[in-house]
Amino acid sequence: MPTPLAKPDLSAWNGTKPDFAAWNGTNPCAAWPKWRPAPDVQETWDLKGRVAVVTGASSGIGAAIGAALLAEGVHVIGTSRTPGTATAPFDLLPLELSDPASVVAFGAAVAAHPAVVARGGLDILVNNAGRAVLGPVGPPSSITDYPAWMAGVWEGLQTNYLGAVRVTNTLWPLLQARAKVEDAGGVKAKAATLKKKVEVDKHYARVVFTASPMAWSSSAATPDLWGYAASQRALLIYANMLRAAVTSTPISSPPSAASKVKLSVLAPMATATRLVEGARPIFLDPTAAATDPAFASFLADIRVATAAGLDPAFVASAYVQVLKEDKPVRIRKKEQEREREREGRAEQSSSEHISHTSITHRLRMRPSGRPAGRCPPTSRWCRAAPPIGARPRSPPSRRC
Amino acid sequence: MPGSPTDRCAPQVTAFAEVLTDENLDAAIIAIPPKQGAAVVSGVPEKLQGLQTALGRLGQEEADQDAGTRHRRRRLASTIKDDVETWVEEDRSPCAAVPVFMPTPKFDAAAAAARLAGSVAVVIGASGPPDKGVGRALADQLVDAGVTVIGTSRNPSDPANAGISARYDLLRLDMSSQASVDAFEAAVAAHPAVRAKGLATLFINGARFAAGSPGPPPLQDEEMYYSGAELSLQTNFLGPLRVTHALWPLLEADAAGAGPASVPPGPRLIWTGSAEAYAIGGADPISYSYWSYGAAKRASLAYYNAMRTVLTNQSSPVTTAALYPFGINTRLVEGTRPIFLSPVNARGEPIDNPHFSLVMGMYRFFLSMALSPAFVAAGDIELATMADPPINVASSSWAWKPQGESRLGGLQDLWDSVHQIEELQSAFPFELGKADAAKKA
Repeated sequence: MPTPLAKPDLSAWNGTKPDFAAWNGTNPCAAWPKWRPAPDVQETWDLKGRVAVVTGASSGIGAAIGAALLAEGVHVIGTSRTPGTATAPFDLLPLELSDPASVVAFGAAVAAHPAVVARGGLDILVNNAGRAVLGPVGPPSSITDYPAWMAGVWEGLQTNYLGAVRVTNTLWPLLQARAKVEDAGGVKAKAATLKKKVEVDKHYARVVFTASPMAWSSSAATPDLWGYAASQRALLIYANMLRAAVTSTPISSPPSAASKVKLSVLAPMATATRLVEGARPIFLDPTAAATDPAFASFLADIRVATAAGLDPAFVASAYVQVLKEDKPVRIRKKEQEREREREGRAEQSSSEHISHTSITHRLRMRPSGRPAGRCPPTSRWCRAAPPIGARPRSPPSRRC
Repeated sequence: MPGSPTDRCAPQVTAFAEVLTDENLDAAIIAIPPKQGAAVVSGVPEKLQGLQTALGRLGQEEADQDAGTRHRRRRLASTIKDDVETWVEEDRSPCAAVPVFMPTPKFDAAAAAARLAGSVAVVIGASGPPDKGVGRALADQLVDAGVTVIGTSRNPSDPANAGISARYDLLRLDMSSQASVDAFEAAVAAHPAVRAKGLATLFINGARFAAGSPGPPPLQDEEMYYSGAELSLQTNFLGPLRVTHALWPLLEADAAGAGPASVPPGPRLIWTGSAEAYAIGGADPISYSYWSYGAAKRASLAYYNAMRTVLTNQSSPVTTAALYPFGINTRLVEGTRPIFLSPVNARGEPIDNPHFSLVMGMYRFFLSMALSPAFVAAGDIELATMADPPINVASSSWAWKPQGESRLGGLQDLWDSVHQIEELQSAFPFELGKADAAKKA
């Protein structure tokens, strides 16, 4: 279990950049209210006894997810680039995402893992591992070691995007095996206990991707993280497209076992992890941070944003909630045919369909580094009269 | 000022307000029906006011709705209101995020291209038959205006490129290979026109379609799947990076005075992205077939935006812009050899997914009815010649449905559901249930 972060004394913070040389590791936003997605969900997906793989579980969000799942009675298999150097309350298997051979070996190791063998498959895969890619985007004339720069960009894509693709493809048969097992064993028995005409299908495996909010928003504000943003954008496309491929079956064929694997994407905002420390710098000169004031300032900024970010334990609690509270696909028998027709007609924008078969969550908070609710002195919008018809605005909340 | 970002930001809000009255609100992602709006010059406060009015209208309509819809709309409305307020506090302009559309109505591409007359332009991916590719159409328009064009092709001796050499030079370039880019860089630097006049404009166009399902596994052919995914990244994402780096010194030299100083905007680099850069994927049963293409195009958006920011901050003499076209009637799917990510049969149809051929057929059908490449080329020229190009520019959206019933029929509606533009979501981040959670807290 990661040590809980101490509540900081915010009264001492005057809003300026903290001195990171003196930062003791506490999280100024630890007092952030716990966010609970969909608190009124009735059906729950029981986590107890399930087997989960969490990549990148030696530190940060992955470690917190592993600990949180462990507390829910899940058998957790974590991964680490260097499993020997990390301690975790669960197994850590070696996995280097940027190396295809490592992913293959990892797949074999998971398939042979006693817990997976005993369970007959894998219930949960959390594609969490990622590596920050930091470095200038240009102008091209400022990139003096172009091959190294390009290699860094490519490695970021290999790790954050293709690495997750490889892991998902490699572990998919195990996930599908588990979905099939449950499909064969449980449906009728459990359906008998439920209300008539309602069939509850809770038998599926789960894949959760950790993406960065940068996969959504424009990366103009943080140009030195462009390589990371690019890889996260690609990852988001893969996750969403795979979900579409899995869920859109031809009209004629019944839903396959493949569609019993549910995919979700979670995008935590800046979280207090060691992502920046473990970053792959793609700029060539190792001393660039010392000699380039703009880059040094950027590094300081991002450390502020990270340190002031979400508590990993809080983020992990959201993962658990999403896994537990995901609604099963509930199909009324009368509506089954209509449902199939809808799928066939590709009307996936149907809210019912989307909200039941997939979940994309964003964990949001105000941008870190600026106290919430405080108007920047230069903001002209703060002084503007409220628009006509606006409700009286509530006083700015100081949530942080 | 016509053509300014603020000008064309206004219609987007109208579109957004219409979305608000749509039934499909729980989708948590907004599909904007992009359309041409009246050219109303509107600042951000007015824009907000328009949104507030729209929200007020929602409230009035509530009485007519059933309880579920009412609840959903109210929740949505209050969520958006919260976010708009946050956004006002934080001084984030929505216009910065919303793409504008090019070419603008009544834009005269020929007259604008004439302003580049006498200068040299490199157009990446300018091969193929006339008006069957954006690069070819662009090169033709530039040549007609008196610009010296250097085009590229993966295979200049391809029969489809017949007749090009009479109009402009076609150099060999495969963006997925660094060696090819290096050779191309040397060839351009040694080109007599470039030696005499420098390089004023660089259009990085060129793309390579990647088709195949992302899954579900087991994969029929892992080698093909992964090498195809990597090749798509190498061509569609790293390719433009490589060419940017290779020809940047020539653009900078032009800024330093090597070229004719009379070219209006100074040296400029135009990237061609894709509307796929704005789609987050998975909203329809078609797009997953080109997930690797979409991923590469979306990744490029991060590069273009970051690069543009850095160049602006440093007041670089070389200016950049990026154009993101929607579906265009090119050979992207039809004629060129796609990168397959799945094994194919003798007819080039993937064998691991029976749905796939249907999907590709639909996609070809859409593209065959889409706008002509010359239209996008005009957008490129507008970006290349305007004084201060906006940052994110989409092409062709409003022209999909000209005045009344279009020849495209319901295609516009389908297209709207297919392409979900991210930046509005970014400007109005949906988080359904947030208002409820706040209430409980």
